[in-house]
Amino acid sequence: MTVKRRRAIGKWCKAMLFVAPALICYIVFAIIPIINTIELSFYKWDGASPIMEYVGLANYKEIFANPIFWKALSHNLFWITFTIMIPTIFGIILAVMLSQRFVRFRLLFRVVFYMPAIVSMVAVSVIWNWILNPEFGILNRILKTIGLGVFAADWLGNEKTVMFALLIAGSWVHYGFCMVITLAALSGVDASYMEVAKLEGANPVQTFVYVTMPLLKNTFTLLALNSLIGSFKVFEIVYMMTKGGPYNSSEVISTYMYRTAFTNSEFGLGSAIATVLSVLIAICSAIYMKVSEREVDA
Amino acid sequence: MRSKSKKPIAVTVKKLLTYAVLILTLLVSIMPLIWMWQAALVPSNKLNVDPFAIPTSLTLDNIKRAWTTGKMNVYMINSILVAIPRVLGVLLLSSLAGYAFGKLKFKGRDKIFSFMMFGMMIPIQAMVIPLYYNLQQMGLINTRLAMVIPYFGLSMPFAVFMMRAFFRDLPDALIESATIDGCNEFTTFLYIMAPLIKPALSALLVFEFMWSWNDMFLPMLVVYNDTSRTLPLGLMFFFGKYTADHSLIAVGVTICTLPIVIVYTLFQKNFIEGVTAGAVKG
Amino acid sequence: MKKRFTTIAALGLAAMVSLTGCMNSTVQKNAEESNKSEEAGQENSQGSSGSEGEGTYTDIILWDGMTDGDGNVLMQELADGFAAEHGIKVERVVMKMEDLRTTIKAAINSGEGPDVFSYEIGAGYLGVLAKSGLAYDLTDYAKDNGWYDLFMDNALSSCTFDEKLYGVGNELEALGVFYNKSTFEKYDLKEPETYEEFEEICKTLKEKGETPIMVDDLDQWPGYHYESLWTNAFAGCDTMNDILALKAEFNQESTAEGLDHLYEIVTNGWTIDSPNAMAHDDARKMFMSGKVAMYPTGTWEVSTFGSKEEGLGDDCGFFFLPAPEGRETSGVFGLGGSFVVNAKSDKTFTAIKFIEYMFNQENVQKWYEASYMPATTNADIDSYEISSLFMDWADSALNSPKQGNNLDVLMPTKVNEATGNYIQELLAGKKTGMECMEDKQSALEAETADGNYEAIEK
Repeated sequence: MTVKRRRAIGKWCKAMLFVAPALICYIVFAIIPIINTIELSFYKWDGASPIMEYVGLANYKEIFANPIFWKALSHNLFWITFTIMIPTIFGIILAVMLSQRFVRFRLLFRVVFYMPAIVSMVAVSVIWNWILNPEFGILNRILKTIGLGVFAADWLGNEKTVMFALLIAGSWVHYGFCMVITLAALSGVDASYMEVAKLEGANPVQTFVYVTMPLLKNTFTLLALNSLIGSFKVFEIVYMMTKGGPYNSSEVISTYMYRTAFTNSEFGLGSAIATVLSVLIAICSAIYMKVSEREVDA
Repeated sequence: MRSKSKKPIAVTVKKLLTYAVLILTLLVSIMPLIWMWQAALVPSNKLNVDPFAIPTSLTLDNIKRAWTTGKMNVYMINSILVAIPRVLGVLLLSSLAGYAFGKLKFKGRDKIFSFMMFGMMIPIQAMVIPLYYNLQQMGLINTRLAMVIPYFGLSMPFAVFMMRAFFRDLPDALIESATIDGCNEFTTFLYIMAPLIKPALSALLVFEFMWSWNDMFLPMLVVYNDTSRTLPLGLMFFFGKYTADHSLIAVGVTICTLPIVIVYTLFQKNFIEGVTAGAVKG
Repeated sequence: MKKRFTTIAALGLAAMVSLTGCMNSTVQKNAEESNKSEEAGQENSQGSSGSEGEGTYTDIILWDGMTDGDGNVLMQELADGFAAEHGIKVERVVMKMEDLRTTIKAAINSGEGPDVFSYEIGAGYLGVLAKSGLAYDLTDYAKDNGWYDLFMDNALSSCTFDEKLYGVGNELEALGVFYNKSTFEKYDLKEPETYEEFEEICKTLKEKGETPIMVDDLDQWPGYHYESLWTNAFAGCDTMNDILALKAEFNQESTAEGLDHLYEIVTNGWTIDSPNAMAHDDARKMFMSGKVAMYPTGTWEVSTFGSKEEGLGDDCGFFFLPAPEGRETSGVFGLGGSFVVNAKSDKTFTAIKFIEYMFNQENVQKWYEASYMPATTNADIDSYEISSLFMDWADSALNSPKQGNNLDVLMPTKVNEATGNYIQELLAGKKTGMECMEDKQSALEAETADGNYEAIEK
């Protein structure tokens, strides 16, 4: 018993030697700051003053009473819905198309499709600000040339179009990632399944629905979870392109948090928003994982 | 076989459609970038009048100006000096931990792993204020290290997740035979395992390099000295400085985007392999 | 075994909890230090202002927001000049004001901050630093060294909180309308004297197929300036002064009328189709490439718009937005910012001397020649070489009997935030001028109640 136990301890210590460096860094640079943020959310602090005033739950009350928070949250939900729909599904379609036998230059397509995803958001925002510019932007010009002038719009300046305009730019960045992941999953699909399906006389649509789709289900779950978390965190593209305007029409929680903490110097309130955001992400991820697990089991 | 011979037209249509979609997407993906890169070569007086006009003459003056007077050379070097240690550190720490989580059996393994995965859900905005003070206590504000060290913790959840998935799929027999050959955990890791995870390492390398290269949020707060600014920060500052000049902005964007595109293209084969083996099966 | 794991986990947790103390202790430590340095600062200021006031010059760090062209060159020259004169180093860090504002508090609190820096004036900005003990008290030094004669009254009064001086206004700026002289000549137009004439000009230009005036508000802050311009033109600067002194309220007929006229520019098609979608940088480019005839913005653009390479050169003119017939036109003025000394710096002596150096007789000329108007009284404009556009605005400034106020630099951040939103709503036709002004008034009242705004007496 004792020998066994000692051996187990030895094993544990050895394993810990591998894990500890990563774990310690993770605790110091991720976990402790989170705990500090939660702590800070119970204080009123302007970031400058030496006095931090304990206010209990007042910051949270203020957030939930503020219409901008709810507006920002609704924009996050919009972003989640459409990010799961547009770039994710489009990325999957592209991957399925690319993995067909007859497609040539597969490498070229694959490399280029992922390129928007690797470019800095600063660059992306410059590019898209120019494309969407109402006066000299190429998008409106293209729409006018092909006779769809009625759809030309003041993309980033109009409360009705701004979220869609941002979404276009966001999707441009994101679909490459979805494609790469799906492609990876498809290459894992055993080619013999396909052959069997063909021999059984299934047409391509049937093959796709009955063979490829179920295999893609896990990938879709992964991508959707990724989009869900990513959409809650979305910051840079909004901050760089509209700063949440016009009149909060594109405000998301993270830009609201940034503005509260760093522009208005309400660090306690900002920390409370950050805490709420983290809790929301954790809850949504947990629910999503539960649901998708149940589906897989069934 | 049967269906193919029966419906040649349908097949041709399908092929045409596929290519049409692929090529259209190709153009949508690359045109904005190519157009930005060519804009870097257009004289600024032309570009300022109409940034979307087809260029009639090209010049290298913009690039020279941005590179030296715009200090893009400094920013570029900083970006490289930040990316290299950050990528190496993350790769090392995560492959060690990934090996333990994927291949070793020890008490509390899954609990510790889930605890680490929790970090993936937390937005950086939720940590940044205290993080600033922690870095300040370490005396790292305004240094390149401030943009490196925090990521040994912040990047860990994703990196460990990926490496664990990869290690888990390696056959146990490898370890067993290594143990019989007299290897301990470390030598097994070093000589047997590490060489096998090259694809996963390349994939992680591309991801981490990309995130480091494009990182903006934390650097924006912890570095304000011009001599430590990385490209995205430099670029934002550069915009403030040359707001009136479309060409210089295009040059800035080009200098910022081209290197990362090159790194990706070089590693893309391993990258896809790594993603295939790592992320998906996890 | 299970027990062991729990023990270790408990140990880990304990370690974490002890580490999490960091945050609070940092702030508390800083608080103690700030108290100490405040005391030290007071001694220091008494020391340096007294007879034995000779300190030693040391290397200092300067943060400023002059990122562009001539201003950037000017600040570098001043820093280098001062460094050379005293054989020290002045390390200059240039950043956008927005970034400076984001980082400065944490930087000062953590002891990483600059010794001297530029900052926005107003209770919501410099006032906050003053209240938290991050800005150095310059009162005694200023009194003993003739700063009250050297600087214009408002350069010091706007940096004074609780009767103590925490900074020095750097340069005088005005808001007005820049115009393209060649476009005006082409249609035989002259600088307007009244708002009605201004409207005539817009009408004529529109008929001739030009875009008369640029209104851009994607970035939100240009909206602050439109508000100051139009409310000042219609309500007049006396009314605006009363409002700032909290003797009157924003929500009154005349200010609302001003904003409604601003919106009319959009409905009459005198500007681009969608102001809310136009980025400021792109708007500037359109004005400088001659695509719009007029651009209402601030005189900090003088050096760029008046430059021959980038801007319109001598083709650019400037006028104050005129008041309607029968009312008095007054320019909209404000300070560009202030120079502030870090209260936690141990190099305050050199920092203060540097501020003084920047505004000495010789250097004031450099400011003018870089197209800036320092807020001092020691200038001899006639002997300087200055651009025609700068002359134009200096002329307008000198001929303006009264000075109106640029509102955003005087307002707390939260009021400006409200302004950023409702001006966009105004331009989109979602709110009337009166509704906007009601928003502003209620935001101001809330901030006043929170102690973030105090009445400004002129």
